[in-house]
Amino acid sequence: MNPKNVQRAMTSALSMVLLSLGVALLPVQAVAQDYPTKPITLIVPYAPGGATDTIGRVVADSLAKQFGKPVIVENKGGAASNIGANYVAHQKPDGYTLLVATDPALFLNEFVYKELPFSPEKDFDPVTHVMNVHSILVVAPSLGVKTLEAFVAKMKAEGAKYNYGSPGVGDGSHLGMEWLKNEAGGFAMTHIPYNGMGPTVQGMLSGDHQALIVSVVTAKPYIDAGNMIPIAVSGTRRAPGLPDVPTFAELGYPTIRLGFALGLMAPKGTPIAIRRKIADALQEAFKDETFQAKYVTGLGYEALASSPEEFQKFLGSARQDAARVVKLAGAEKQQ
Amino acid sequence: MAWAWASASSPGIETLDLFANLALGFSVALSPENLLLGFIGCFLGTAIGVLPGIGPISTISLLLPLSFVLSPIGGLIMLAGIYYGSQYGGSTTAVLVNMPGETSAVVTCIDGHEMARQGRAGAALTIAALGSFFAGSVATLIIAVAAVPLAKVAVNFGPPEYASLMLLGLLASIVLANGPFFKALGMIFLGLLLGTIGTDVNTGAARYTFGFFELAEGLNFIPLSVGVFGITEILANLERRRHETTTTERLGRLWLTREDMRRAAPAVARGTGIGSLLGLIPGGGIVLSTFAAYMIEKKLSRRPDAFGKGAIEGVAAPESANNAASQISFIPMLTLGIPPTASLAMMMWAMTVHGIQPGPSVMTAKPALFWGLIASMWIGNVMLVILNLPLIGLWVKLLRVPYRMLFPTILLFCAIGLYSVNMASFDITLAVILGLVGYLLRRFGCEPAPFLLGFILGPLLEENLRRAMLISRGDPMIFIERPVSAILLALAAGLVLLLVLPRFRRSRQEVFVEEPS
Repeated sequence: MNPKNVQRAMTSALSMVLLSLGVALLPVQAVAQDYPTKPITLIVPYAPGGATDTIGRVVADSLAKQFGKPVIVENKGGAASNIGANYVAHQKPDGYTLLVATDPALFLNEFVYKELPFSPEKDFDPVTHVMNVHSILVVAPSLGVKTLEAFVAKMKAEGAKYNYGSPGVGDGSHLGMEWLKNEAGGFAMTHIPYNGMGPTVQGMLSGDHQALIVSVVTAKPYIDAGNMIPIAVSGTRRAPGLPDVPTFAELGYPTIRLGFALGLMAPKGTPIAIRRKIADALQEAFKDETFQAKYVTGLGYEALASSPEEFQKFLGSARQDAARVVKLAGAEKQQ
Repeated sequence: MAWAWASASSPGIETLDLFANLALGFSVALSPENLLLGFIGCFLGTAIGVLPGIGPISTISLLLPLSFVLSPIGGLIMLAGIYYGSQYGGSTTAVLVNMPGETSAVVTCIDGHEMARQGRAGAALTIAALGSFFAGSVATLIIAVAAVPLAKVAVNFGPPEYASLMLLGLLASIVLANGPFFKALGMIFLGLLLGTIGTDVNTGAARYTFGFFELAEGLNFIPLSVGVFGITEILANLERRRHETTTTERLGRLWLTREDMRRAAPAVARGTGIGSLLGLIPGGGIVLSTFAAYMIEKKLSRRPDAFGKGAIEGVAAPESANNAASQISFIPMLTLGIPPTASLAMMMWAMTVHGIQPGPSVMTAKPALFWGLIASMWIGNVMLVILNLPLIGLWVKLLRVPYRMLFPTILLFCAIGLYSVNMASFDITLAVILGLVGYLLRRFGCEPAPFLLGFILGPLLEENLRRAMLISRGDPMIFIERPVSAILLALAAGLVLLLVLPRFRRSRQEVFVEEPS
């Protein structure tokens, strides 16, 4: 074959490829540039009023301000996020329907549930890791311990006599305590599951159980009143208002992740340019001073608004931890 | 339950302090801004209470972001207004169209709707409003005087006490429901069975969900009550109307007769007392208080036969009880940070976002907020009476609307309300199925009230029984060793004895009969 012909053929082939790539990319870029052209819907997979719902509404307000388009929050609650997640998994991947996902939807349910009508890993594209909400280990004053070391020692010696509470089987609070039990070398303590955090806190006050992993915001007033003794907090820094309470990492438990992560997930196939745009907008919104004062310094939330790539990486490692911890807690494929 | 009053009679607050605190509270609550916000809350609450299916939970959640813009106390006053305003409004649909807007209005349907059918809807709504006002005023006073000592009572109520109380409640409903005894028993058991649907709290296993994620948290009360009460009632009405002219179109007088007042006044007082006591118990206390108030009224009445046939006491007692209880339930929230209902959990969240931690320190750290909220409750009750009394005439006129136009409207509002709970058509389908089931049961002479009681109390009984056994490591003595639980169990045993004694059997009275046979 004539080398010139080969060259021509190659050039035309290359240009064909480039052209088709361009054709494929052009509308996407145009879509991403114009995004959003209509209202965005955030699906909160819980009933109105809980922590996820409230943070979801804060995220909606922040995005609406940045984009100048309405952002609507719709609650599709039930079955530990599965109903809302299943709905979003089957929406158009155009960036106009997003899931406000927490641990159960992000990486827990695939291990807790026997079967799901969707794959949390394969049916979603990550958008942004919005924030981490941290938790604290508190114990009843009757236990007579004030440090993690003393708590672990006492539980190893006579843990069978004591209980810990959680708002439900497979909840982050339950899994966290089993994680700690395992990291600390194992101790016996009976798990008492409740139906929600309100009754769990009441159970601790009335002496039904002696230890609990709970959000810092919920525990703070009881700590101030002396009804709960703070032991350690999760996260990389100490909690606002509790400067004397060490983190688990400081005490030699760097891998334990308590509390929960909250992120936005999009249906599989949502263009990366759109996902980046949402993450950047949220990043910008989080710089707002009143937001920082109220949620970061006030309530101790770790506001991140990370990139889709960073979020993907986080989900990978969190998934590995989840598989292990769910097994430890005996909550595997229960529901 | 003398233990509750023993601690109530020794309040740790000096009388002088009380007046100073109340003065502070009223100075906060009477500011023009807060008065307006209170009015907006009460008005919205009444409106959503009247619309079937749309409850205070969805309304409060929609208005939460708005409340963040307001001052903390202003936002709270508005949200609190929605909360107790909906309690007033919920009785309106119960009386007019036999549909409880909330669990707490289930009992009101029994005699309230019967009164409406006899052309006395005005009187039923008036006594509901006046009874609620009295109960609300007393409850406000109790919170102001004895919030802190009473909060201790709520904490001492652990799993064994809950389990024993629920057992007593279920037994009482069996013993006191005579009429078609086995039908009432069967309905309670049907309620217990449906109550087991959903995720098992102790193991996390799914029970009777048949693969529907929608059932993972159990049957929702709203489709259940709209189906079994609302749709069933409409079906029955459509059938009845073919044979006879209806009586609900008769208007009758709006105000109460002297005889009504004489009968209702003691019922209001007793209902207030029961509501104030049971309102302290988070989770189920408010609903239980309405059933308890109704049963006690019937037991004490000289004309128990009139109950279920439009007895005014049957409206006065439970309406007073639910308002007293829902207001008293602010005590565990404000002093302990324990929200007894989902609506109050949301209000707690609103406080948290404003940087106020509900809990033991609120009273001392934020006296203006604490006392302002208490004063606003009383002002809110005054507003609700002023708002509701003139509206009664309007509501009653609604009954003049031809039924062929009224029932599609009711169905439409039900469908909107049902859909708004989870944005899912599943709840509408469920309500229609339950409505058909309810209609069949009604044809066989079974009433929905014992069914709903079983449905509400059953899961609470199971959950707390198993939790108590977990705590005692399987030793049933825990129910006898704890004094309050032992007393409740003794009462339950006494009721069983009464059940088997033939002499009592003859004098046993019908509690749940709704239809004149």
